[in-house]
Amino acid sequence: MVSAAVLHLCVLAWVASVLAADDYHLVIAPQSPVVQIGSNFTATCMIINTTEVTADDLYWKFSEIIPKEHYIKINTSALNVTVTIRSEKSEWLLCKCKTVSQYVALNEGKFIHGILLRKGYRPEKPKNLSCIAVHESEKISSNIRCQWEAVGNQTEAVPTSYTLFVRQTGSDKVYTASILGPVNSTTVDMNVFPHHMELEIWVVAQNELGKEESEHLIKLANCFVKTKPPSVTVISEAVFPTSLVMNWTSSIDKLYLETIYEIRYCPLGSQMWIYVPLADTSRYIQSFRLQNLTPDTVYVTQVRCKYNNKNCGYWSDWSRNVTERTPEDLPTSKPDVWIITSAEGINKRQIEFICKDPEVSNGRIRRFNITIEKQKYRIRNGTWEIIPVNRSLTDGSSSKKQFTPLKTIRLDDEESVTVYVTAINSVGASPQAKLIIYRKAREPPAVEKMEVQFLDGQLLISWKSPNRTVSEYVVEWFGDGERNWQRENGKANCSTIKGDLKRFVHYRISVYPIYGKVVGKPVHEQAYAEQGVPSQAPTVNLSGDPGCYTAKLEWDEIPLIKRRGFITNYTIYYRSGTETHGIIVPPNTTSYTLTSLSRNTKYDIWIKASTIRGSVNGSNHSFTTLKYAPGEIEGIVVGVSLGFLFVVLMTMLLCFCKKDVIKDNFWPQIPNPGDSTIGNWSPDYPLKAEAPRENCLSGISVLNVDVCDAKCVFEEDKASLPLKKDKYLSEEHSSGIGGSSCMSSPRQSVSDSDEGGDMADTTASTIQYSSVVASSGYKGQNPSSLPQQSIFSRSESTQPLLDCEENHDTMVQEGSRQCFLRQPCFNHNAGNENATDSNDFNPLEMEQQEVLDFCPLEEDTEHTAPTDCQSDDWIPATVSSYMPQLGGYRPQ
Amino acid sequence: MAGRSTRSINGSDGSRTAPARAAALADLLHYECSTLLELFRKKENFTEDVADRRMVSVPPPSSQLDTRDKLWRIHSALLQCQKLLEKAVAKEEEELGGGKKGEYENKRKLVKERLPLLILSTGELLKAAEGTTSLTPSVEGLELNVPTNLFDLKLWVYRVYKEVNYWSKTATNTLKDLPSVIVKERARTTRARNRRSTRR
Repeated sequence: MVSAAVLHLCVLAWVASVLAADDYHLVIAPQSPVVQIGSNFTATCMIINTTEVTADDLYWKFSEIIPKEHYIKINTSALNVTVTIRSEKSEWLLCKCKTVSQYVALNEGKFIHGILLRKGYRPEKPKNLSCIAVHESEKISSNIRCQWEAVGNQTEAVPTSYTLFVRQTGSDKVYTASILGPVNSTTVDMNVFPHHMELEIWVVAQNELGKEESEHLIKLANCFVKTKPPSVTVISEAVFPTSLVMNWTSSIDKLYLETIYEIRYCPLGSQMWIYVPLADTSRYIQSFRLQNLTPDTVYVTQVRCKYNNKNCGYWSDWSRNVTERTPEDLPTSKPDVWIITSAEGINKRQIEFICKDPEVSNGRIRRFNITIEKQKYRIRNGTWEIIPVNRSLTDGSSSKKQFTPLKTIRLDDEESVTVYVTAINSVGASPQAKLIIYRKAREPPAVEKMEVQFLDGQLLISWKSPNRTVSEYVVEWFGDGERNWQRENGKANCSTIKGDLKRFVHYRISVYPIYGKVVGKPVHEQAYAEQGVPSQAPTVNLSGDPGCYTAKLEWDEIPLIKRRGFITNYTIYYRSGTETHGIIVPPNTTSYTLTSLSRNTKYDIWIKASTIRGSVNGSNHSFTTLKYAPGEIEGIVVGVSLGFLFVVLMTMLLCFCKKDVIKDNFWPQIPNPGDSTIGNWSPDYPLKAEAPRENCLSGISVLNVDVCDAKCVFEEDKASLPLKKDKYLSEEHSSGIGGSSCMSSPRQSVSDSDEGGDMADTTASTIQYSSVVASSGYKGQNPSSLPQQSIFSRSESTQPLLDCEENHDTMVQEGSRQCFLRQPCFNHNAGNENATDSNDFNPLEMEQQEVLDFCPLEEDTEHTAPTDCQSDDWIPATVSSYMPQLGGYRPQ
Repeated sequence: MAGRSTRSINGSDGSRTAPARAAALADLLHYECSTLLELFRKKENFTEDVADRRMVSVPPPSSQLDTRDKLWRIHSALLQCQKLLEKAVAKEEEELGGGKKGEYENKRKLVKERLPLLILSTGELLKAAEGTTSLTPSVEGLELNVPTNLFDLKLWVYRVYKEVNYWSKTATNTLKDLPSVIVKERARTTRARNRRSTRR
């Protein structure tokens, strides 16, 4: 301590002398110190070259002014301060002076001094020193790489460096390598790796605050070696099917390094390595025989090595995988024979025998031998039948998952059969497997209450055992075209399928109890290992044509492979415009009839198939409902027709019932001319009278009739022309008075039959015609208005009467109606059918006028022109052509 | 220095004794020297019997020699071999040039570096057996006069290699024959004697 204080003062004196030259008045010692964080640091501020101030005027400042309790006044010109270093950041420590005089104020720069405190940590002893020398090319590298664990902290201002020392024991030569922290590893080159020599290795951590040395690592140099793995070969020997011989070559000569080995192996595909106990291999060996292996199995082997020292050394990396297959051996277990049963006609079944390789096949099964014994006859079906197995060598690893079809037989339901199967590999035959299928009526009972559950990613099948003792169960699953099965102990009542079940595939799970060797009845269930969304929805189509308000939809079931789960339901959607409706139907439905549709509306329909995992929509289909339902139009037409018919019938019935009223209204009773005083005319009265002829000539009606007549003739039956000609001629003779009586009521005619039978007798061959010839046109019905010059003449023609005239009795009524129908003959030139509108007809007027229309030509045209005869044109003519016999009858 | 006084217990190789390790080292040196000789013979087209004369001068082997003497003899011979080898390598590089570093040069360097390690090991053994390190190899009579003729130089180098090979082989045999227990006991005895003399 004394020497340190002296040294401190000496340094201070030297600094003071140096600074004195620069005329500074304050100086701090020590200069540029490195201080340890967490420790106390003491500095001294000394006043030099002035008496202006004393130590009492001094003060210390760090980041802020340091309290005076940290000061120690050494003398009037020196002041100590002691501070605790806490932060890691470098700081300035200042010694300053109060302004006690004007000189100090004027020379403030001379009364301040500072030092930079570089802070750091004292290095600590490195821990866990370890070194390694790696194997390069054919020798061990002369570079020894060491690493350690740095302890403690360091700052940027005071870094720690590490120096690695390597020395061969007994030698003074030391190999060193240095590195600056915080890196904690370095490499020493020793020119040649000192095999069999003992090395002493240590590392020294050092900075400005101190130095620490790690523990010395004293080991044989070979302890630091990590060699390359050996090169391995594996040999199988046919006579030892359960062993493999491993040979290897050490990567480094024994002269350099004696190594021990470790071996591990596993069947190909397995991740579980089997380690050979180190006691068997921890010596310098170059071969090893692996034993108790499985015949015909590919094994993967690896070896690693290290320096033969139980206390030190690094294991090399494992050698590369070397695989080898053990030789084949006799199959030691039975083949797994099973059946696929299907119905074949009535009372028959088809049974296919299939077989898996023995669990311990000990080699590739080359063939199966099978013999079938029909128990009905208690004889075996001939000799063993050989079923070769065509399976490539590469299938060996998966052979246990496959089965071989052996034989298919047809069996009556009443037959029982026993099958025996052995499997043969290249070495020999397996024990014999046996299976019995009873006649159907005697098949042992099935399991009860079978259930399939999906638990923890596996299918769990549970069942209740039958009441009989079961030797074992066969759990079979079939899906996606693949079939597999597994056997369970007879006491089991559940099983987890061990095979690789595919997701979204429909499986049919079956459980068969086996009684001894007898196959019992199966129980089946459907299952999915994992359900998904259907990959396809059904395509919905219309069944037939849509109706007005309904449409029947049909769709096919989704194929099993595309369901990917149990269909929970279908949802039928139909949309018109923006309105969409959905209908949920059960999964077993394949048709549905939509109702409540609108007529003449376009609908889009599609169907959604759902599973518990989701849904998928099918494609759209469009249709348009009908505007009219089938038969609707026909119904309307028929209805209307029936209604019309009804109306007609009702009208006719009304007419029939009210014919008298109608007759009275439409055909009013015309007074019988025979009852008139003019009826006392004589048939013998000469026809040709000057007066009528004159009257005729003087009248215009005759000419009018001719014109009409000529025209009618041309249009009427020309066959009757001669007759008509005669008629015409006769009419000419009758001076146009020969109007047919058919046109008028015979009773109105002067030649009416009311003349009595005597009249008929006297006029047997002749018909007397009467004619009323108007002397002029319309005369009106007022006889007093104009002098009546009409002539009533009687025809003496011998021309036979027409039918209508002959049957005038029957024609009375008709003729009474047809009278008006004939009028167009007078008014043909009008040609207007509208003119015949019955509405224009005024029966009351007719009645009042009591007009009788006479038409001389009517007898010829009465059948050829049965048209309406009322017209406006007609009325004046009629009026003019018939006049009441007011003027009295004047005999001809 | 606390660190310096701390020794790792793990470092000692309990399975092999110091003589055995020295013997292994001598064996390694012999193997490497044989390889070097073979390379040199192939390089210079020398036959095996081209040179067959001893260069190292040590007392003749005798069944009467105790362990210490055997060790001293081997150690001395190896020291002479080291002198000869260093001279030969220096002369060869000087006369024939450094040239490209091939397999021969690498092996020569390896032997040259390995030989001092064996000397160190035998020295340690000798030290352990005798308790003293005051062993100065005698170089008297050593043929350090290197020939100037190229053939003679190569022949001399060849002889040096053969001498190293011979003495590494001899060291292997000698060290393997050393009874490890005796050496340990003698070493322990020596250490005890030293401690007693120190106290005095």
